[in-house]
Amino acid sequence: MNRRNSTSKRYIAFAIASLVVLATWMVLLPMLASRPTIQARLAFLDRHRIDPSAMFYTELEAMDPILDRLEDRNRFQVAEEQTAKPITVQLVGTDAKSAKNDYPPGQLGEAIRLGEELVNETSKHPLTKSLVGNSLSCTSCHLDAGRHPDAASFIGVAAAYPAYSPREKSVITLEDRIAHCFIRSQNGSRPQNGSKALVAIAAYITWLSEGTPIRMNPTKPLGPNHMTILAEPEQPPSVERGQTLYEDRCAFCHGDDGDGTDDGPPVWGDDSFNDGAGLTDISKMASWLKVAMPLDDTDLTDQESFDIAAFVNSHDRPKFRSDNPNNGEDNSQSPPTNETDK
Amino acid sequence: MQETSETDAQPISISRTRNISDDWLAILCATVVLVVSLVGVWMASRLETDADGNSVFVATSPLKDWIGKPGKWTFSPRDAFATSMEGGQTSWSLLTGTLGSFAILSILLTSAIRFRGGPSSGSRFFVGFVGVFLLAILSYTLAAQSVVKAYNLEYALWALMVGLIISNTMGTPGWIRPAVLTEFFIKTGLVLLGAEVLMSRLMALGLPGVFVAWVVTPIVLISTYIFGQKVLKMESRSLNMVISADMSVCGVSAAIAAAAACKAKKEELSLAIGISLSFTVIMMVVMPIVIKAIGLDENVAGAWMGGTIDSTGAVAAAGATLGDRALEVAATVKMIQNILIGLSAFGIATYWVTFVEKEPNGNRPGISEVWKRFPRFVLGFIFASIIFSMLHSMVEGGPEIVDAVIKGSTKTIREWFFCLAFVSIGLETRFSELTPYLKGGKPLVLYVCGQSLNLILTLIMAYLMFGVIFKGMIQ
Repeated sequence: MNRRNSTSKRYIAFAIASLVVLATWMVLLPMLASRPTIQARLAFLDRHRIDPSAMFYTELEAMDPILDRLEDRNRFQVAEEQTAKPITVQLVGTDAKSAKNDYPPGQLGEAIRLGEELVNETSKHPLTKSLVGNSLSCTSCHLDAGRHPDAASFIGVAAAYPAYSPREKSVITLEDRIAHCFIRSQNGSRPQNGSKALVAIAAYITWLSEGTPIRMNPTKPLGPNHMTILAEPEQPPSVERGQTLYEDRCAFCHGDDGDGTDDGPPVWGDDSFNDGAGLTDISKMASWLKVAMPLDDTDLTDQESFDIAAFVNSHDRPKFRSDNPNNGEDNSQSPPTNETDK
Repeated sequence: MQETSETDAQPISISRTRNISDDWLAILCATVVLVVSLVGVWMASRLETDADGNSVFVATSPLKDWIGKPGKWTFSPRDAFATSMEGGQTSWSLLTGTLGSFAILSILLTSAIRFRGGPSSGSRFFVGFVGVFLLAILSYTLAAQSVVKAYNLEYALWALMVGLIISNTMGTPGWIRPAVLTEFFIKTGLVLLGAEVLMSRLMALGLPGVFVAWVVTPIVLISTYIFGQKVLKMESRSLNMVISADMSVCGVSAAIAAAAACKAKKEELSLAIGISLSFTVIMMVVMPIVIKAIGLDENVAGAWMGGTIDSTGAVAAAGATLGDRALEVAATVKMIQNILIGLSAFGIATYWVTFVEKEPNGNRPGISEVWKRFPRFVLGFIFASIIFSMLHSMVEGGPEIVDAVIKGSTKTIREWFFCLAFVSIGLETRFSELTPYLKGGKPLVLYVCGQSLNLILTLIMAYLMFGVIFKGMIQ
């Protein structure tokens, strides 16, 4: 009697424990999962492909891209160390344009080097910092400081100027064109004509254009190596597809919220280019993405480029203020040149 | 665990036809799994030409589709086995993977037990194994709920719970018992884990990563062990060691390895992972908040969390909330610590047979005696690690092959072994056996003090390495 009693007691305990487990997993946890805060967390983890219950690094999906990147970086470093000297010589010999290294002597050479520095460090360099309203530098779009052959290349550009610009409906100089980048893509203010910074950057671009026959452009302010604008893809660009692609291919360097990381500049929001910049045009952005991104692995299809461009440009960014007296389009509206920074 | 092997040994030894220890049987089974996977991948791998005309080495595991486990689900446990594909079709690959794993494991293990104990023990094992495996499926399904996953509550915990519920209410049925082989499952799983300990991953973050993961970790491991022995005067050295290892190295996986290496009792392992998982949940949530509040540099913060939060997945989750760079550093530091498991297990096993298990007369054992007592499975673990590290770094196409072997088959099999082990621990543990350890709260004090030391030392080292000395190098 006693024994049967204890047996049935044990089965009752088992039934109760099972019921508690069942209720927790079938009712309580799904209920928790539908709460917005938990859902946000689940979506966040999914996006980063992180399973917090992973016990060992091999169980963590997010580890694969990290390891790939580290390996690439190490390989790059090793290659750089091993071949640093021979490679420069070789490149100068075979492809003078992309590995141009023959800075002229004297002050001109200094100006060119300064220009290159400014292109790389536009938002940080003391000479240009105050003129930049975001955290971009010229090289953010003109990759490799404009030496990249396809991604908004500087090579040969100077040979097309002075050129007619439909946007300003006037003929502009290379310096004007550089200044337009400051007020649009850099969301800042116009550097003064003849200022040290503007002269240096123009000198650098002109130097990269050495050897290119002069051929002033009567229709557009574009050089001989300008980007080919892609034709509209088969399907209209989709923001949703773009979002998925962005999270997959871009977010790691440019941040989930497009606000940039150490590895990539902001692509929308307060710290990115303003809505007066060329890249706010979806087909221009797509054409640039196609030849420029992802940095070492430009494998986006036309359709993907357009989708990402549509997604990136669906976000808010700073307004271009053409009413700002400093940002006048015309040279005549800019304040008189005071050689203050000389 | 030592206890169970002794009690198990009596009844089984009568019918034993071959005198093979759990260690050797574990090494044998794991070797079969590793060799079969490796040969399979080897035969299935080939050079292919990609769209750009480059030749690429492609390696896949032919076993991939037949090895799996229940997948993540949120609202209905059906999703753990069935995934709906685009176009409304349902894919049952998770179910076939689970059943495939059962087939592979039951054939392998039944033949192994049959080989050791004769046909009757083989068939008795198989019957019990069906039961244990069903419980393991249940545990995995519980662990795969997305909220549970999101808070780092690993399958080990749920496997324990499932086992405990059965053994402490209706009692573990007699027909299941022949397959409740905790030690055998753990050791086989650990030898398989050896293949995942790739030494070549060590330098992934360069010197600073090695400093944070490899200098602080042994210091914390050893000093907390001494602290537990001298200050807290913990009665059980093995419990002390298991807690020190899971706190300083990498949570549950390190606890399993340490427990097996120092022959800790199964209750001690359960307790250690319970404490570790609870604190990991807290640290995973709190550390990023604190770091944001004090505005620590992302590199330093990543290294700090990677070196302190126990579980690998929790480190990644905490790192990601701070940013991509923090995630990268945190996860890589943790990975380097993961690799430390090999050395820790070897060190602990050596220390144990040399200094802890003294001769009855109090003398230290001689070299030959140390060799005789040294747990063989640790050798299997180290050996697997060395072979796969060499494959990974020296053979052409090695990384692809090793990756395919691990991801495509051995990792999931290893996880099943650990899950089976924890179900088994639950099935043979009474709550009354756990309570004495909780008295006085010494394990808890040990964990809290040790983790505090870990937090301080790792922060100093992370700051020195990532914030000062190598600051320029890490860009």
